[in-house]
Amino acid sequence: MEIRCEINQKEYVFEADECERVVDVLRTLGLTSPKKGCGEGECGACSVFFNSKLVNSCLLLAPQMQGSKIVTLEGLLEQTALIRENFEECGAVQCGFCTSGFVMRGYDYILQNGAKDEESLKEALDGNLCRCTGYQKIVEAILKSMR
Amino acid sequence: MLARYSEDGIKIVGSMQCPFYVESALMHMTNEKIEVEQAPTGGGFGGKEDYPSIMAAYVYLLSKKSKQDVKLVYERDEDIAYTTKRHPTQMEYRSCFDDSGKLHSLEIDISLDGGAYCTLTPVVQSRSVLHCAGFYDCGYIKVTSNSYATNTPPNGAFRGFGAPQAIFGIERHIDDIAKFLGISPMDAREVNLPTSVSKSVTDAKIYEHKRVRDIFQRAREVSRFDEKYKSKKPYKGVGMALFMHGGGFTGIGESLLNSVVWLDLSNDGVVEIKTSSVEMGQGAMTVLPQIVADELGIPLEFVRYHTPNTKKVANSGPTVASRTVMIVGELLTQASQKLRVALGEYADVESYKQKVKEYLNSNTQNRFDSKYEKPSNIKWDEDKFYGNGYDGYSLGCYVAEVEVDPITYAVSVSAFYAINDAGKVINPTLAQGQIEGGVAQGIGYALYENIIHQDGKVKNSRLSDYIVPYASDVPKMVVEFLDTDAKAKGLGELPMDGPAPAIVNAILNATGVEFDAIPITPEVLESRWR
Repeated sequence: MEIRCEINQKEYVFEADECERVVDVLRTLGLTSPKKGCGEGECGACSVFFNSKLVNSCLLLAPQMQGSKIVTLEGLLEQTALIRENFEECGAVQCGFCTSGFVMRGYDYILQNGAKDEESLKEALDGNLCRCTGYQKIVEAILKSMR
Repeated sequence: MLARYSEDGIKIVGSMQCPFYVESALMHMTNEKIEVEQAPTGGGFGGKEDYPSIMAAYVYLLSKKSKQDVKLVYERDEDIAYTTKRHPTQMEYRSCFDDSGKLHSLEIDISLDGGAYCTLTPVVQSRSVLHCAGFYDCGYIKVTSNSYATNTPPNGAFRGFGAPQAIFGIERHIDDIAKFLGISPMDAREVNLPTSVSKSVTDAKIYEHKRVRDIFQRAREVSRFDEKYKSKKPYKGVGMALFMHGGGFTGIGESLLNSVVWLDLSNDGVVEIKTSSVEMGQGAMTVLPQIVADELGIPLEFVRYHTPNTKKVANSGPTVASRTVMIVGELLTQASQKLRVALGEYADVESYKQKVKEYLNSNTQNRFDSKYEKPSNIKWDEDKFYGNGYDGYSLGCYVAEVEVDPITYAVSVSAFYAINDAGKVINPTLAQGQIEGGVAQGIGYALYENIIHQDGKVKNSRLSDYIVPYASDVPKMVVEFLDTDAKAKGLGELPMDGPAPAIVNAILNATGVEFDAIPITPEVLESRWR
């Protein structure tokens, strides 16, 4: 089916299968910041803003994109510059597979005026999985970006 | 895994820890050397040690037949169902000790579930045996060990490679001795600390005896274990694990690998590292250049790391067994020394560049190499399984504090102290990241992670039913490194060994129940503690 939507403030018109997941559609379009970590909404690596709400793009199907506004990390490079810099500085990136998801989550947390304590942030990160870092440095990097 | 087709041949590109293993596997099949290149995509943790060879064979054959590029990507549930897992292991410990807790003899039996094919089982088993008595002083140790073929997918490498299972066995046993005698687990460990005459399970002198005492004392102080143990509060507990991890391949393994590294020098003074040590998040492409730049006394931007590709780099062995910094890093240090000698004295970057030009004007040889040689003081008898199984050991002493919930039966780790001795720390941020990440995996190993098989197949092949730790499951931890003036030793696997026994010992302190199997899920806790 033909899909028209706005991705990263650009109009897109493309053909997609009704059963295709949004994460796959985005990656096929060359937007590879959303990663397919689990494919079932557990790991948050495919997080994108869908009509201003942060969601797992593996849980949406292509037809839901019709007329929607989607923002991936590629469209937020300027806004997330400080967070990404702090991720690098704090050592919050190891293999990097979960990183774009955590940067999106951190950005959303800051946008929502999340509390500046570790416990609240950790709770907010419960939709994102990281197998490498043990989360400490990710928490550190996001808290640092809030100061 | 990707096969790139061209008339001249097929090139394999993929996520892997050991490009030369893949090359070797394809050579068995095709009788020719296929180009294999690693793509830095995702972590490894052992799961990409031997399995990528199978995927590479699939894409190679399909590409050869179809004469086009072939890509193979496993969905997460396929990945969990088919790739290798840690060996489920059953251990029995019997010991003779006196009233102080001093061990006089240990009898240990270790059984490993190998799954349906042998694959890496014998080497995992060797590592289990070599770690099963820790570094404690004990007069007589007898170990028997068997591996069994079963009907599950083959088990293989997972961070720690047989050591976490064995360390769990000995460290739980020490706490059981303490409980039996009514003494503190601290005292039960202290009385068994090694001395200059203590021997390991394979009759080698424990050269590390002083370091073991130092790390034990440091962990005891930093965590204030004794105080917390004495003033125990309801539903709370504290537990310790003291352990070692042998770096590099076991026994004659490193000699068989015969690793080689290359450093290629170019006219502009850039030195290129050509090894098969892959980047998978652990930091190889950061720390290896650091080692070379330090040794040469030049800025880091003069050192480049070449992507591991079997047609372009030296075979420095697989990226496993915590061997990258310890073995490959040491070889790069030696190659850098050769390069330095060849160039002669230089005082700064300008004179370095001048020396490089002068050297390359009068020499055609721009490659500096180094090859592994077994340290002369390390003796190992493979037939008798006696001697020193590793070129060097790193040490850990970890303390966990837990809280058990009397309503939900969930265990939470409220504090964690990880004191490590892995010699020189090349990059403090990355090293701390390795420890923190390893401890988090260890928390998963202790409390959540459980592969369930049904009729030989993995039943819970999804991240919604195979539970790994979330951010809120991992406490803020204290991480320290001791003995950092010594040579660098293995680091990556060390933090996987300690958390499970420390946590389960803390659960014993909290509940009075000795659990002897992991994970301690709420169902398990509820079944024995009400």
